[in-house]
Amino acid sequence: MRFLTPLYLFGGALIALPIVLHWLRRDVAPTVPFTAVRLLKESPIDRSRRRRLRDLLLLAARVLALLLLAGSFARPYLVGARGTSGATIIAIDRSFSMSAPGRMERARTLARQAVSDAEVAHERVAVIAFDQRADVISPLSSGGDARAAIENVQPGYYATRYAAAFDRAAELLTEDTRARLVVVTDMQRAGFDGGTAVLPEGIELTARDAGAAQGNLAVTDLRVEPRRIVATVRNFGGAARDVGVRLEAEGRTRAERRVSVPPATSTDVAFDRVVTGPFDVAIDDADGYAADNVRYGLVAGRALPRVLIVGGAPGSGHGFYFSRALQAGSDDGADFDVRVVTGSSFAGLSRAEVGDQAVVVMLSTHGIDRRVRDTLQPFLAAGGGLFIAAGADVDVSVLSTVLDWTPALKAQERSGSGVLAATDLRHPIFRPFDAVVANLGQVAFQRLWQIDPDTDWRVLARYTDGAPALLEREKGPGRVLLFTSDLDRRWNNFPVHSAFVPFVQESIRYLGARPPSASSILVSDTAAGPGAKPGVAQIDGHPVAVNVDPRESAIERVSPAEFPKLVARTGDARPEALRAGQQAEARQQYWQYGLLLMLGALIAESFVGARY
Amino acid sequence: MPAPSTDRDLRFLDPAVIARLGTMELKARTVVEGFLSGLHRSPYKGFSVEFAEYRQYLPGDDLSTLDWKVYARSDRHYVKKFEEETNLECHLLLDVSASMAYRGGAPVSKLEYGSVLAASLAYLMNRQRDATGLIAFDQQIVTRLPARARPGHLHAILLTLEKLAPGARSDMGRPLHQLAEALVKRSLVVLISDLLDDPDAVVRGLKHLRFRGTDVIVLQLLDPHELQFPFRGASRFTDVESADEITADPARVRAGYLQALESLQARYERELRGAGIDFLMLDTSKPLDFALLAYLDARSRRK
Repeated sequence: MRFLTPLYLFGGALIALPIVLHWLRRDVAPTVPFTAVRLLKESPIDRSRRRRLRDLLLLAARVLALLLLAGSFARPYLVGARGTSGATIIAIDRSFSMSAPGRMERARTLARQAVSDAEVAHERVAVIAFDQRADVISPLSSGGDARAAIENVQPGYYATRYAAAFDRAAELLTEDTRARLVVVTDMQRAGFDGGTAVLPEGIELTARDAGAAQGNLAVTDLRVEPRRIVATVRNFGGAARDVGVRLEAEGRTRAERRVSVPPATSTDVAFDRVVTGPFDVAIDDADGYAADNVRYGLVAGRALPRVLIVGGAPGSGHGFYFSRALQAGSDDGADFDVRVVTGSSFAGLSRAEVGDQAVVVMLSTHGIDRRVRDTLQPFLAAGGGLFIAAGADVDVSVLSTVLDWTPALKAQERSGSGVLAATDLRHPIFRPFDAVVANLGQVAFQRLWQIDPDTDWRVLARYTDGAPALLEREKGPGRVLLFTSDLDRRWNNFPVHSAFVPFVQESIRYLGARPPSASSILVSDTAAGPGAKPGVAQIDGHPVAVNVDPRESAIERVSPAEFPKLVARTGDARPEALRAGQQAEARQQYWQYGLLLMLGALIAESFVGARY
Repeated sequence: MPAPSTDRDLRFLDPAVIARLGTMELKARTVVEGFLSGLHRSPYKGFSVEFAEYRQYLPGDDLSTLDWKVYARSDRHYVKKFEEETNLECHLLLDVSASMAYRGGAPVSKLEYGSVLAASLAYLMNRQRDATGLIAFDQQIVTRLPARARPGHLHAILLTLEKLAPGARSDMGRPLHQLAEALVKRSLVVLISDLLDDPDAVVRGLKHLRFRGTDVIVLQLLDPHELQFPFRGASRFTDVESADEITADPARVRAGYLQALESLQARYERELRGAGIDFLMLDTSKPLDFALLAYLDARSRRK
């Protein structure tokens, strides 16, 4: 029996009141003024056995009523009300480290043994299978159900996290006065990483060792470099190991290396980048954990972002420098797919053709007509980027019309204003310049647009005379960048300056032209749940390499004696216990019976007091 | 004796209602008027106290009783029977001993009940032009107003009754003997008391009065608790006059008490009636009309 609000039990001290009154007044008769006392005869006060019994009954009824009142307000509830003396939770480790040969079989044996022990002690048994998650595979019941559930436990691909098992066990055991948690595991020390393992004070914790791994080889990392693929192989054991490392794709071994890995050391194994798309690097390690013998990767295709430069009339030369700056790349080639078209050609493009572009660069409005409005507006609304540079062939009124700028942008061409200065160096365009951002200040600008921007525009860079140089405007998810001087080397010498290429590339990247990157996640990060497997999966329409957590590959262990010491203990006032107590009390509602009994006691008191 | 009042009139005779009225005069007037109003409608025709008692002159009637004004108007001889009966001297004896202050189950104490009763009788007597006097006593006479018939005397009586306070223990024999010696004229004495005194002394005193030719009416006032002894639980009963104490379980002594009270009542009734004294026991929770009727009955028999 426990109480939800035990402080009310102090109200039971009120029973002292009727007891004291009974003691004090048991032989005292009240004084009654009267007139015809001479007509009365002396008679001893009736202290007969019957009267004493009546007084005792009255006292008992009053004391009982007060005790029931205090007890009811304390809201009592019974724990472990199912006729057993306690409960045992058996938590079986199902992380991929349990896939080592013979490990899971031994774990099942230990779990069955724990079930037998609980049956001997007349305890209910529940079974939890845990890794990074914990699932109750057999609720508190008889040993037969628990044994059946134990047979179905299989190692998965998640890592070990003891905290998950403790939390779930605490939820199950809050109602039992005597509770035990038996953890059947391979005792990996890594299971205590990544979170504080906490168990309520009242739960007895026992760890049973399912076996120790002598060594383990694992492919712990994959890196796709421009010309090669680098795999990291780690030897977690205490002895050097020779192992064959294979690069596999489409079911075939593309390359193989043989390496020697010293104990407790990682070795990088490089392969030529001879594959495209999904691949894996695998090793053979019969004694270790099977799940970490292979690691999956993805070589993304060269799907370059498309940049369309609108260069005005044929032969105008607009876009020459801009396109060259975008096509300048590393050894792997350019990062952008650049195409230069005339204004009239651009006006003739369909909405879908414009929509295929990542960024549109407008260096001239020559040939632009109203049709452009119907293609650019949806393009920007879909998240496209638009770069506009001022120039003699750019009519700002045409821009305001096709881009639906309200109020219309007003720009006045004027001469000479000094050099460029970034307003916000943390902006993504200028951030890559880092210490060399000052190079922008070496560019001389002879002519420019004088613009007085409204609040829709944000100034990212200014000329040294304060005039805006680079402005940004957002239209839904799309962005527009406006450079207020020419980028065809007619109003300045910026295109021949060293800062031009990074400025152009970063601006275009900022507008959304980024190459797709291959990604890799852990099994536990997928939404598939415990059934998830390593490999290459489609997530949100993109291929993603899914691998096991390399921390689980470690074989460092704790001893069964040390295991409980690594678990923090909480007091009885744990929220789970309180919640479970409230649930039990709400289900049982013994306070109602208490008040009914109190009412009965008071009725009995009235009856005895009036009748006898 | 038939019931004289209707339910509506009883409302004015209820001690609880009377106790809430203001002055003693108002109380007395309310009681008497209510009583007489009920009396007129009652079938009780034994006597009358109103002017309606004009009757035609018969040979032998005292000529001084003729109403000459009526004769002047109607040329008939009528005798004012009422005025003919105004030669009585009444003395109201009110016990103000400490026991009279007791109030158990009634809405008023015995002294309050007795005061209103005395005031009502005085008011009634005054209406009939009887000379009325008041004597309040405990173990001795505390207040004495001689019998007078003039109208202002009623006011003095009512004022005195209003100011009465409970006194000491009672010793009824002494004041009764003193009064018997003092009365020189044939008169009517109305004793209002709980008679919780030595019955021998009480009876002797009353017989002394009777021996002197005085008509005596004894109105004994008892509280419902005195009549029923309804107490519960062992108690220590303390006498309000003598401070005597008796510890008793009411359940065990109730029967004995009631028997003793009944014996006392029987003795009073037997001895007083044997001496020609009217004796009436009144419950102070009951209306006052029984007392008034007793008085009028005794008065009519005196004629």
